[in-house]
Amino acid sequence: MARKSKLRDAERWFFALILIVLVLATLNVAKASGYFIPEQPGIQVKAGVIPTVELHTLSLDQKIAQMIIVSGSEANSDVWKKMQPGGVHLFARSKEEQFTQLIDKYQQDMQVPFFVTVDLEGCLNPFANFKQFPAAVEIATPDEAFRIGTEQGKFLKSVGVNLNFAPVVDLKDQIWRCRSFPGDEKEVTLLANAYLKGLQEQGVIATAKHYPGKTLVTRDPHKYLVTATIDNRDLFPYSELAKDVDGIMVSHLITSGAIDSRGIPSVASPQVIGTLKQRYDGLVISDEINMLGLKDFYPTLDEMYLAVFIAGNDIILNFNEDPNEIYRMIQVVKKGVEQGDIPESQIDASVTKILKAKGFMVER
Amino acid sequence: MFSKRVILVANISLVIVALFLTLNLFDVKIPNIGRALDLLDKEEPSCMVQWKNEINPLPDMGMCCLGARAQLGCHQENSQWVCETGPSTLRYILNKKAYNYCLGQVIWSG
Repeated sequence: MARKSKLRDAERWFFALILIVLVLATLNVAKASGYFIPEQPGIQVKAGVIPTVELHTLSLDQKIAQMIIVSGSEANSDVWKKMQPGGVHLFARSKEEQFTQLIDKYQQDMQVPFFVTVDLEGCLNPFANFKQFPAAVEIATPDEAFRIGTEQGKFLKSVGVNLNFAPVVDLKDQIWRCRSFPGDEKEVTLLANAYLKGLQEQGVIATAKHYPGKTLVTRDPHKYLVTATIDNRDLFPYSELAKDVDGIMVSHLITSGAIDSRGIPSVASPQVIGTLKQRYDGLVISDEINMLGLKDFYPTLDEMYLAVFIAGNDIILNFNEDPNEIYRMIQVVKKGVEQGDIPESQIDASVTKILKAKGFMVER
Repeated sequence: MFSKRVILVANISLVIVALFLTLNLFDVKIPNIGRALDLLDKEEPSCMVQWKNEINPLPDMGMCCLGARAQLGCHQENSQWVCETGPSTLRYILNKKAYNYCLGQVIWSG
């Protein structure tokens, strides 16, 4: 009798545990898909010849979110639409329709559209399964560069991409051998200028990268913190292109020489970005922040998040696939603003640039 | 229906699963067998980039993982993993250690 009762107890526990596991599993799935992340209200846009956004109507969460570009996967499309980051970056897909359908899904019902970004550099080409372009290193004349820029711009616009992380203006690509234009700093600048004009005339934002240079050269034996000495030749393309290019991407190299990041990665260096912003009023975009050269520099992710915002980047690329982590990043930065570590005026200035780049007038 | 011993084993298993699910829910990271095996594997991660016939080492694993992740897909060729998008573009060639490392990165876990 007692044995039977014990068996019945064990069975009761069994069913109770099954129920607990099911509830926990459901909660885990809900959390992973961003179910617990609060939905942001839509950003209000005043209609007009040029639509207008009143900056004061945006919450701090909305402003910080506008400064982040995330990885635009199919799985996360609903949660990103709920959180409204500034943009989504797309990796390679096999068919053109996969791009257009996904981009349509993202942009549908968005008052302020996403930046839709890619790395189309020629030999790095997310569309290569169905559309080929020559590598930058194979482009020999400014006319050709302009034609390729125009062709890529038309194609990107037709797909729905509005921001391309190209051209690469690092000199002497010694690792990939194909990402940068050929020649010395003057020739690279000439070709890059022609390319970006072709791209931008089609309404696609170009990004000169990777400031302050040497990204395609450095072969540091230490795999995680990468250092380089920058000279004036590395900076030449940026000083020449600054008046024309809509965006400049900053690398995670620790630099010395003509640009001294003072022992910290360039992308988190107020010195590097501050100097750049004195001469350039376009979008300053961070390289992807989960790369080890940056991530391993900081004891915690929170410190890294604060550092890249404090440094003055207008747009931060965070391709972490976990929406909860992106939400946490926004909250960490928000706390940093509330505590006075990051001036809200700096956030406002970056968001103003972003909204203008998206085609809005901005009223304070 | 089942013996007491079977139900006891099932209950203990369910308690362990519930524990892991609870830890995961609250973002508590615990050492796992995969990581332990990775630590025991003394092979150095290696990443190469191939453009046409030229192959160069890419020592920055962060850049390597991002570059490989951006490709259409990765497949195994002999003992290496090759990540590429099309015939005319770059190829990222990773050894098993580097590939497994990249798979564990936050940019690749989606």
